[in-house]
Amino acid sequence: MTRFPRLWRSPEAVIGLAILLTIAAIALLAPFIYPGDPHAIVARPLIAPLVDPAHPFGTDRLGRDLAAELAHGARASLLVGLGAMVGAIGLGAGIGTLAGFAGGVIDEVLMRITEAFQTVPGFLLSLALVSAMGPSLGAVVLAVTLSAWTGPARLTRAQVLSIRERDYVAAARVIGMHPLRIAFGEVLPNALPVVLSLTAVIVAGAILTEAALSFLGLGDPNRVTWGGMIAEGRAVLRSAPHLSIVPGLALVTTVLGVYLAGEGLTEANSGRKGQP
Amino acid sequence: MSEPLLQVDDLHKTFDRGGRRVRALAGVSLDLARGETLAVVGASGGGKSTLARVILRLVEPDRGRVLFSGRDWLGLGGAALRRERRRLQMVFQDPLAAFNPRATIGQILTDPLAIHRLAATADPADAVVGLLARVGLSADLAARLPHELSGGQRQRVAIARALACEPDLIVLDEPVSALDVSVRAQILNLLHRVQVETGVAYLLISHDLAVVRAMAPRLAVIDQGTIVEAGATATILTSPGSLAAQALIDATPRLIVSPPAPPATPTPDGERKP
Amino acid sequence: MTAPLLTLAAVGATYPHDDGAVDALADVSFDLAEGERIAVIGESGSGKSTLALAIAGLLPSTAVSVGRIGWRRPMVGGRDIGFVFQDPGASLDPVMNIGDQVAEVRVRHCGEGLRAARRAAIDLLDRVRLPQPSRLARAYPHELSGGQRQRAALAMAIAAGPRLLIADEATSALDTVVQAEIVALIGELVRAASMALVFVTHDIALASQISDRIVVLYAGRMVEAGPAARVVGAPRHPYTQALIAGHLDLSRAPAFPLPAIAGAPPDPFDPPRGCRFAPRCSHAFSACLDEPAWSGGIGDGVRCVGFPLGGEP
Ligand SMILES: Nc1ncnc2c1ncn2[C@@H]1O[C@H](COP(=O)(O)OP(=O)(O)OP(=O)(O)O)[C@@H](O)[C@H]1O
Ligand SMILES: Nc1ncnc2c1ncn2[C@@H]1O[C@H](COP(=O)(O)OP(=O)(O)OP(=O)(O)O)[C@@H](O)[C@H]1O
Ligand SMILES: [Mg+2]
Ligand SMILES: [Mg+2]
Repeated sequence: MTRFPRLWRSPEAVIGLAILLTIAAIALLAPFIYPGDPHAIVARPLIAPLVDPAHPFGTDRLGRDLAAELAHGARASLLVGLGAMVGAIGLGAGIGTLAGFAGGVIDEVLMRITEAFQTVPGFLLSLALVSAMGPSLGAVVLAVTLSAWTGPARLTRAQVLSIRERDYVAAARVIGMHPLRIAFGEVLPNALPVVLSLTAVIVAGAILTEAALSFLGLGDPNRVTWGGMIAEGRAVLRSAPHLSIVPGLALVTTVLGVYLAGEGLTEANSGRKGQP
Repeated sequence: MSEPLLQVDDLHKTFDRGGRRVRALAGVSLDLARGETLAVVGASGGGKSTLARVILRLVEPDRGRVLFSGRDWLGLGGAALRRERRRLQMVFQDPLAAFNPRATIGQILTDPLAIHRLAATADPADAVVGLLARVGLSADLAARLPHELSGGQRQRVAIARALACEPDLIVLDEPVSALDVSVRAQILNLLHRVQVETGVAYLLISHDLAVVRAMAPRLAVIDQGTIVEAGATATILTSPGSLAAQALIDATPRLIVSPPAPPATPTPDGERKP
Repeated sequence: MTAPLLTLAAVGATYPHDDGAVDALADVSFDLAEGERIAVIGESGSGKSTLALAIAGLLPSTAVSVGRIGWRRPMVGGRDIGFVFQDPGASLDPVMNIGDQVAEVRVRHCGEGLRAARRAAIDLLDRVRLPQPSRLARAYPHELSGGQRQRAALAMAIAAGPRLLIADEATSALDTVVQAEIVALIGELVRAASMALVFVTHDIALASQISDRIVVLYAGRMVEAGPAARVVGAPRHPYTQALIAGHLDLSRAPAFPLPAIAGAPPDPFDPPRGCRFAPRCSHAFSACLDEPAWSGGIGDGVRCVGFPLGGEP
């Protein structure tokens, strides 16, 4: 309960959360602000930004509204970020908990698998997966999850190794609690705060990976994405640089917001323990 | 009551610490009758906690035998062990470390009831209130987190958690040494009352002989992993037969009451001879 | 009569917190004579460490201190005042061998050269009864047992020949046997050099063994002080009386229920009004709602409204 007041005291956290909330609001409200297909051609092509009040960010080569594309693109970025976070932390925390708590052979096997995944460059894995499964948002989320879960897994395992020696874990065994419940009910919740400090890196990485895949033409073709917009703009980079710069700025702002909020959350969390 | 509740026979345990082998238990044997209190005392590193952890099946011994109610206790495993654990409970030295920091007192006390389906009433909340009352705590503590309680309150909750299981034996590992001096006696009184009411047996681990003297009629002295002396507490304390016991007795701080110098002001308690 | 080594006049300290300040210590006054041994007793949070740190001038900068601490002559921390903490890790450097750590004190405060200081260090390690001092001088703190670490910390504290040794629960983390050894050692060292001693402990029996005078703290208030024999033999404050009545003795098995003090020490953020022990005191009456005044002399008296009325109203 004291976490929130503490959060507000850190200016980074406030700015970060404000950015994220704004972008989330835009993403959620996109279908209402810009109903219809954002890919629809609405005006003449290549209107410069800040000239036409109806199209504040101008239009692209085909005359599509950049503002509408940007708003709808936020949905893809946030979805990928959120999905990858849930996927990578869920998978990593689960495997890390099992490995750390069970120990022995299970630990050995799970850790070797983790290492194997770690040696494959993440982006290469994503490329391979998306080309194999076909471009879709789900494939991107899966790809990012598979390349990002090793960090949370190792961190969770390290936490679990130290927590499982605590008296309260012994106490749970003494009252006859089932080992799985001890692992996931007693140990994991106490390991999670530290693991969640990886959230920012994972979310930011996921958003950037999605953008990079879209930029390479491997994004979901039925969705507007910021990476796709940058790629589109590349052809007219000299004459209409705003086509690339505007979604690029959106991308940078979002990643910045994620980092700032993540930093603030980690700080608020670490200050919580051991108060009277 | 011919058969002892707990029979420990020739327990051995060696730890491997950074390549060095540490013999924590080197052939420990003892037994404990139903409803009895046996104290195990010894200097630091003597193996007291290891003995407790082996008996509680938190650590597996290298060899040796433990019979609990005449049954092979070390042979139990899996679900059968978890079911039987109900009868053998523990109170830890540091009551804060012994609770999940994220669980409320209510959840902490509900767990054993739910695991062993022990709640006498339909509503677990009522059972929690009943448990809290038995250890002298008010019902509104159920919503608190462990760190929001005082040390003495936490140790009461720890005792309540053990009681929830309706055990035959509770291992008490230094149950009062982390507590404030002014609340120690309260906890010892509570432990005494609980024993009178429920007939539970205690294995009391301590290096405080004064506490042992108060709580345990029988005493075993452990030193470097072996029981060097065992018998009636009063006898051992007056005429110890081992160096380890002698050293512990000599080291116990005694209140030095030299006759007070004539006070400047009349003391109302002058006649209260301690 | 010579002037005391140390005079405390109305010493107190508060720690500011996010939600209100903790009034950790107030109105502590006593003298400490050259070579005198004082024990400060009290339970967790009673302000023992705050008092010890205040005397040594080591209070954290966040603390707000009041009152006056006067010395007979200027004292230099580390040279004229030695300090031993409960956790020897607080004074020992983990990456330096203990011989050099002790030698460093000699170099800094006694103007010795490194060679002489190293020789002196081995001599000091011998005086705190570390076995094979010339070999252990090359050991690092983590290679020593808890008791040995505490001995090394003690050697550091007395290295420069202090006039006052402050031991803040220096033996509380050790087991009974080692504790007794260290307490005896402190007693000997202090007597041999006629050093003054402030011995902080929560164990009144230990206090009675090592000190000439006992100061009893409860929830940041000095509730009683006096010669050790008087405080133990004829305690005046109900808290001290209860502590002594509740002391468990080896010679007999006590009857249950043991004499116990009801309740728990007060919440430092919300202490009771007036006498802080009153809510747990079996003698409390309406006058206890006012902050009680100190009655008696400096360093020998009691803070209880009931006392002048007869102790047990
Ligand atoms: N998990 C472990 N790994 C390695 N060594 C251990 C382990 N547990 C205990 N030991 C060692 O076994 C010996 C006995 O330890 P134990 O904790 O049983 O002693 P104790 O009598 O409880 O001491 P204390 O009074 O300090 O609690 C010690 O030397 C200790 O260092
Ligand atoms: N640095 C600090 N910042 C804030 N509050 C503090 C600080 N040090 C001590 N306090 C508070 O001041 C009060 C007295 O603390 P102190 O450490 O002097 O007690 P103590 O008698 O030494 O207790 P213990 O036996 O636990 O060491 C406590 O309520 C404590 O929480
Ligand atoms: Mg132990
Ligand atoms: Mg202290």
